[in-house]
Amino acid sequence: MKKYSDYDMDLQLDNRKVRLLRVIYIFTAIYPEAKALISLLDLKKECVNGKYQQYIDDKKHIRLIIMGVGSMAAAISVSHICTKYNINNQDMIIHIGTCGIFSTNNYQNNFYICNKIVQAETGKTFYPDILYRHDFLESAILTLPMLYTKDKEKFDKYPNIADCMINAKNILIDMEASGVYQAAIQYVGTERIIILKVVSDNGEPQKVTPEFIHTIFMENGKALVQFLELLCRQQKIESEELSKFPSFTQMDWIDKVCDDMHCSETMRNKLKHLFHYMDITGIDYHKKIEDMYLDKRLPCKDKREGKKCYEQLEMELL
Amino acid sequence: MSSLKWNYYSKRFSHIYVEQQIIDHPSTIQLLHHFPEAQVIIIKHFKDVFCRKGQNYLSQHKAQSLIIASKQGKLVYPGARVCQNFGNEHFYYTSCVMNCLYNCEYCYLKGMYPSGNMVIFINIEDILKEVEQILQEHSAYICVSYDTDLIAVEGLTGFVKVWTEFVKTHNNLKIEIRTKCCSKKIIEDIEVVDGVIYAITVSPQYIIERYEHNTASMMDRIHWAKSMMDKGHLVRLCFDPMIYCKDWKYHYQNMLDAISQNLDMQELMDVSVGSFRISVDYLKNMRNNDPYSDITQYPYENDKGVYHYKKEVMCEMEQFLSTKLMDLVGKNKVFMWKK
Repeated sequence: MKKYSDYDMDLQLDNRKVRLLRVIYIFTAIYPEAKALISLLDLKKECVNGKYQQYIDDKKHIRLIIMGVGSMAAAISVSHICTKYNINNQDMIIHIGTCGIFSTNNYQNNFYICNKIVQAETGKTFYPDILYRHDFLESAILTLPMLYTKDKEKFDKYPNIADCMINAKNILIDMEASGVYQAAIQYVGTERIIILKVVSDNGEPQKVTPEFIHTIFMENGKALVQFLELLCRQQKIESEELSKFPSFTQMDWIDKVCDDMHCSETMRNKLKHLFHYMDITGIDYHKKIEDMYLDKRLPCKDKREGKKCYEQLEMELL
Repeated sequence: MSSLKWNYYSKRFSHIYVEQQIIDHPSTIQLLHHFPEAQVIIIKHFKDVFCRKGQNYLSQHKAQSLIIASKQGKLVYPGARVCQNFGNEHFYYTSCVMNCLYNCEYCYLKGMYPSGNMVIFINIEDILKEVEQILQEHSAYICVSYDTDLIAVEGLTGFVKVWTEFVKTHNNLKIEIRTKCCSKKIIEDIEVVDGVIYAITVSPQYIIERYEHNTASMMDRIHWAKSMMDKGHLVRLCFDPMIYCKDWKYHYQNMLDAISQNLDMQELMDVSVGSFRISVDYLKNMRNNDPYSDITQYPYENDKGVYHYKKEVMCEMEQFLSTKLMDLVGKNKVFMWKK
């Protein structure tokens, strides 16, 4: 039996592919960033023949992908994974990784949620929605095409950096955020992209070792796990809300009714919409249709009779 | 973090976006003062946030952000054809605020705007200047609370007060402030000014509970209307949109009974009646945003770009209410929407 989600129809409501399993996709740039998450979230390596290493939890609610370093690698990876797993607005894309900090004060190795992403080369700015509660700090982030170092001359060709610094006491600097966002927004909504960064240095990347990354991730492990649990719970609630509505698995039956009414494409869509409305309001249209078959009003002889039948049905149901 | 168990969404206005050019404006500072814990994010133009690709109106409304901006370009627009002009020749509307604190399932804002976040334009003085230019040519009737509920955000903006002060000094101006809010502050603080009409949308309690989320109850609205009338304000009751439901006659009759028992109907300025109608494009967006709302998914009739109930249903509903209202307030005080 075909499922509702298999259909590609004109109706707006059908564009929302109903899928009850919702997945959180975590993207990290390098393995040391993933390592702590793998142990914190108890993820297992998935043996798939693919370009990217992937790790998944038992319930298949969380999938971690190691995407590579740099904005371009990030965008390609996110795009590849989104296409491969048919990611849509029911899923979440989270980028977790390390970053540098330009700060007027001393810095700490805190986690930040990024509320503004600036691409250094173009000056393009992106704003992910931050709708869920969290206990992290928030900051803007600047995505550079190179490692952030204290060598200021290196950055002179990026005038957008100065713009970015206006009114900011500190700003995070990384190499992936804008790539992740720009790719992810093609597949999910602004509220479903989260850029979560932990500060590793203030322009001294040579000091950042895999062991150090592991340590700062583990130090913030509890908050990280709590936040991801919250997102999982939220996904579950949304999924449960959806499951209250009919499963839309009777498309064959609906198609048969449409055929028996000799529906044109427009009428077919109208009838499907009518059934969808009935599903939402809980009106039992099945019995009505069955009665129509018993009364021999269905199947109809031709289009004209079908139109009459449709009007009658609509009148009786509404 | 324990609170997360109960509410996963951030508080309303936990994030405030401010246009860079107005960051030091006194009104911006005053607005930000209301939300000391909010994350303030500097932006270049409000559309960079408000018109982003891939926004979800419904989710955003659960944790609404605030955008503080300065309005540019044309600030006062001619009234739309689907809106009631109450017999006024020069009918305009303007928006000092975009989007609403309330969450009415049928609200056209959900189809009109790409974002559920609220925008407050702090440069109301520019809007007033443009109104003054219009008034030099002819009188005007302006709806100032169409794309928001201005009274609901009066504590933040003070715009109702600004408008009433403005109307006081302009005899050829009439404004309508539409609301579903029953703010005592308005009753206490706002001066009675001829030319300011407070239009309260009244719906049966059944409809309020199902579709007009977070708004005042039917009885609260009736009592508020009474208090405003007692104080001398011009009050209009809007039975618009009328929403169809199975026992609509019963619910609307109950509502009318409650109104006539509590209000001196002759003292009302006028009333408006109109069943739910909406432009095809807006409803398309709303259906996309909210595929499980019975009010957006109802199989409306498409009539030259406007969706409404089937003609028979529409006529019966509007006839039912308008006939009864004509008996209560007089024929000339009942305004109905005409295509």
